[in-house]
Amino acid sequence: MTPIRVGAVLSFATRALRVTGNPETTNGASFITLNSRSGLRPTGSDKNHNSSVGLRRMRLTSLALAFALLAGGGAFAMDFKPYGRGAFGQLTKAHAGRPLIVHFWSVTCPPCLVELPQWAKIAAEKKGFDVVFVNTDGDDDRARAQARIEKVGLSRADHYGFADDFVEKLYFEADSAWRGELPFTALVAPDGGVVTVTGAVDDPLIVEWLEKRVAK
Amino acid sequence: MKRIAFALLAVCVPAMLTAQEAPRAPADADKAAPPAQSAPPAAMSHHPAAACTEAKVDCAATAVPAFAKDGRLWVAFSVGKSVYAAASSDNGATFSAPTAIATVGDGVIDAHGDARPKIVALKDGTLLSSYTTRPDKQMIGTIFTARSTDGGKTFSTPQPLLNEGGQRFDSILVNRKGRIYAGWLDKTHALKAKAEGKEFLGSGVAFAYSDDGGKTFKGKSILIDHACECCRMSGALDKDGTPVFAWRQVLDGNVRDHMVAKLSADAAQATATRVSDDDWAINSCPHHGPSIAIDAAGDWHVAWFTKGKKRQGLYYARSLDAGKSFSEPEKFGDDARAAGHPTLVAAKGRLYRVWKEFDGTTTTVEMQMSRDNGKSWSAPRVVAQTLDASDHPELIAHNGAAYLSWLTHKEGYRLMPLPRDEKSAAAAR
Repeated sequence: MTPIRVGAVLSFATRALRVTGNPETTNGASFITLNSRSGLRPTGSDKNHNSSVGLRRMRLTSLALAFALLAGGGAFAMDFKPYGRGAFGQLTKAHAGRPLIVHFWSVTCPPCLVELPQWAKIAAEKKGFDVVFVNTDGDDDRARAQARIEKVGLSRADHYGFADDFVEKLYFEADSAWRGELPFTALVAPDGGVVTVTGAVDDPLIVEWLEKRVAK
Repeated sequence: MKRIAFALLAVCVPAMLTAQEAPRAPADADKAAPPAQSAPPAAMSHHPAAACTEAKVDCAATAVPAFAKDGRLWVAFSVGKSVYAAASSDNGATFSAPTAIATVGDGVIDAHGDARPKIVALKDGTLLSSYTTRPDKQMIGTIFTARSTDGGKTFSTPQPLLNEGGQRFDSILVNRKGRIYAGWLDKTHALKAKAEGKEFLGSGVAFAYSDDGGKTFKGKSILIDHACECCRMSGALDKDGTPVFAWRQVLDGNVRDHMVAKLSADAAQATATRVSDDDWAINSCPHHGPSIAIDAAGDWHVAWFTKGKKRQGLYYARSLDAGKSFSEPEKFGDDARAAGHPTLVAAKGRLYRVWKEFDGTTTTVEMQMSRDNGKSWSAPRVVAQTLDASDHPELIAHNGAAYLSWLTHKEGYRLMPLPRDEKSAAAAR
């Protein structure tokens, strides 16, 4: 795994302060990948939510360079990890012990796009829980999905993309009654218990779940 | 410091997670679970279930059938950035080499879920295909039509139905006189409202007609506003040859229930009535449009999916007074098996409804038939199944017989005749 060290060195300069600034992230590497920039500030502070374009570009360039070196070129700065059969169980297992939100969205779902900035804020300010985003579009729409993510400042969040056309199976694994309506959100308790919500981020179930976590 | 170093590694390479608590790439879950440290590079996204990338219907995600005057079955489908039509002389068992209708340079072809390229056959042998493209940078569509007057050997240069505004989810019908009706969902009013800083929910419902075999469409206009923009429209011809369309509407309070409207012969007027008060108040995209069929007696039949306050699951209702009133919604399908994507067809005194169910492993297409115009239905019967990805089921009637048209990754395209009598319909299961 030597190449990874190369990546680490390349982006050390732009990331070091951020990581030390958030004790939560030192619990495990997976949580670091979940954090977007403002997530490293104290909860409630969303000033300067978006870094200056120049700085952002620099970071992206650094990341892209690191990735290019690692993957042998052709990789994006941000990428969607494939979400296939068994993915939901793997995610809940990987995040076991911590509350987790798995948020499913699509570029063909206008309500999803409208509320994406709110999800960016949640991902940025979250504390004590993890958020994973799953784009349900096919590969054809992934560039469009990526543009949306970048637009709302969610580039650094943990992103997955549907990588299997057997969508019934992917839906079923998250909720056996889910037929693919979006936005769709799974609220996963530390013990793995799942509550699902069809509809917007202002759904009382989501609001209540977040309030409970914030209050902790 | 060691922990921070680990954290840094993950920040730099989000796709190549190395720390102990890092989630491994879920897409490989079917394989033996390796420890997190040996997680595969998850960035290499691909579609493992896509059967192939060749220009044939078995490689497509959606397939829409039409029987031509000469008895051949045509299907419209897309693979990659191209739209094709292919013909079968043996009811879908084999297909001739497909004819390319269009290849899209910029953007994508709408062929996913409720959206799909389509084809209709005219009496004079003309084939009319329609498909929607979405540009790379905008979330609006353009509906194109292309014609073939040489038995599908070649298609005309595709023409946009409209050049601006944004359209998706067309439904095209041809009546006995050869008049073609088109209905679609249109974003024009929504875009205008957005430009003016006003709120506008959903899309418009627009219509047009053609008397020249689809060369040109007249009377293009948005007659109703606020349709749910991500669910298909469905259309059927009434007894008098004018079309009736069904769609999901965004009603007051963001309620997404179903409406139907019969179009006037000149496509200039449509009065919408509500099929059912399910009270599904939700700010979401169900991606799950209704289906309408009209039988020889002129009764209207609608099937749909809802997760409303008043009812959840698949429902059916009929109207014996041309949409003025509908029967109490009747539930069908098994909620425990995520029953979805219902569709209806009427064929020679019989009415069929099919839908999908999934038990976590097997997707089945369930079927019921009615010989009394939807008053009573045979017991549900599995007419097809698959263990992998599949398209929504489609129904088609031809020469008095009804067929299930279903594209699945494992089995490819299938056209299956549905039983004609109660006894065989009730058999099995």
